[in-house]
Amino acid sequence: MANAKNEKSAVFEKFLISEDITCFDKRNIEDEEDTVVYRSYMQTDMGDMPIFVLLDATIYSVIRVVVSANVVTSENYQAITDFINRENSIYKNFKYYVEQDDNSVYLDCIYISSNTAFEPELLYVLMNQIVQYMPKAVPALKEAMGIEQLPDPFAQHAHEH
Amino acid sequence: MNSKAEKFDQFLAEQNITGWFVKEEHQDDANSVVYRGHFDVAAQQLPLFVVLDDTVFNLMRLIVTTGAVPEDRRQAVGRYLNELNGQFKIFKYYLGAEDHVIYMDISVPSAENNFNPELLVRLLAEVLEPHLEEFYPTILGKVLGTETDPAEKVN
Repeated sequence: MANAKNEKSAVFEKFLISEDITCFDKRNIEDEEDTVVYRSYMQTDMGDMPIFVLLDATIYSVIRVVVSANVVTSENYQAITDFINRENSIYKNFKYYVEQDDNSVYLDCIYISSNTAFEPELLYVLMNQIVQYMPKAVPALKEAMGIEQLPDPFAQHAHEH
Repeated sequence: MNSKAEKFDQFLAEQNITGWFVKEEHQDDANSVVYRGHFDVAAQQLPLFVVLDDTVFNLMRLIVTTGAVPEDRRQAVGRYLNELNGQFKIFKYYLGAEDHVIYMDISVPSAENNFNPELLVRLLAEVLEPHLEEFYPTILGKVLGTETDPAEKVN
C-alpha cells in the first residue's frame, strides 16, 4: 500500500514564502507518514530553545519546543512538575511535559485538522503565542530548574533524525 | 449564539445525536456556548464540556475525578499525568490548582470557516473513549493509591 501523503507541508511552505518567513530549516523524514520537520529556535535570556513544526499525513500538526534538554534531575523534578502542572492548568493551547527518557522538558501545541482544512496562518498564530509567552515564563522556569542558562539544546538531538 | 455552535447543533441534529449534551448559551463578549455532557467509564460518569465561542479556540474538557486528589497522592498522580501528557498528543491532563481535581483538556483550534463539528465528535467517540477505557482505571488507581510504580517506592 502506498504511503499516506502529507499535503500540509506544501501549503505551509507557500505561506512561509508569501509572508517572507525564512527562519525555518526543513528536513524530510521519509517515514510512513511523510513527516516533514521545520526547525527554528526561540531566543530567551536563559538560552536558545529549539522550536519544531512537524507536519505529516495525519490530522495532527505539532509545534514542539525543546524547553530544556537534559536538565531534569531527581532534585529539581518535583519543582519542574509543579511548574508544569500550574502552567498546563492556565494556558489552554499548549502543554508541557517532562520526557523521562532524555530528562528534558518539552512544550507541545497540537493543531488538529484534515489536510484540506489545514490553515498555515492559524498554525503560525499558535506558534507566535508560544513565542510571546515564553519570555514571561523564563523566570519561573529558571527557578524550577535551578539553573540560569540552558545547556546547548542541539547537542543531544544532533544525530537523532 | 456563535456560528460554530450553530454548525455543531446542525451536525448533532443531522446525525441524530440526541441526549449527549445540554446546551448553555452565555451572554459574554465571545458569545460562548457550553455543551455539558458526560462519559460513562468504569461505572463512573465523568462530566464533559465542549466550549465553542467566537475565538479560534475550541475546547473539550473532561473532569476526570469529581473529587480532590488526596494530598499524599498528588505527587504520584502528577507523575503519572505527566507520563500521559508525553505519551498522547492531544490530551492534556493536569491537577486543578485550587480544587486538586484531575482535568483533561483537548484543544481543537480552528477558524470559523473551517470549523468541523464531525472532527470534535469523532475525537470524543473514536479517540477519547477508547483512551479512557484503557487508562482511566490506572488513573483512578494512582488517585486511590492502589496502583504504585517503582519510582514512588524509591522516592
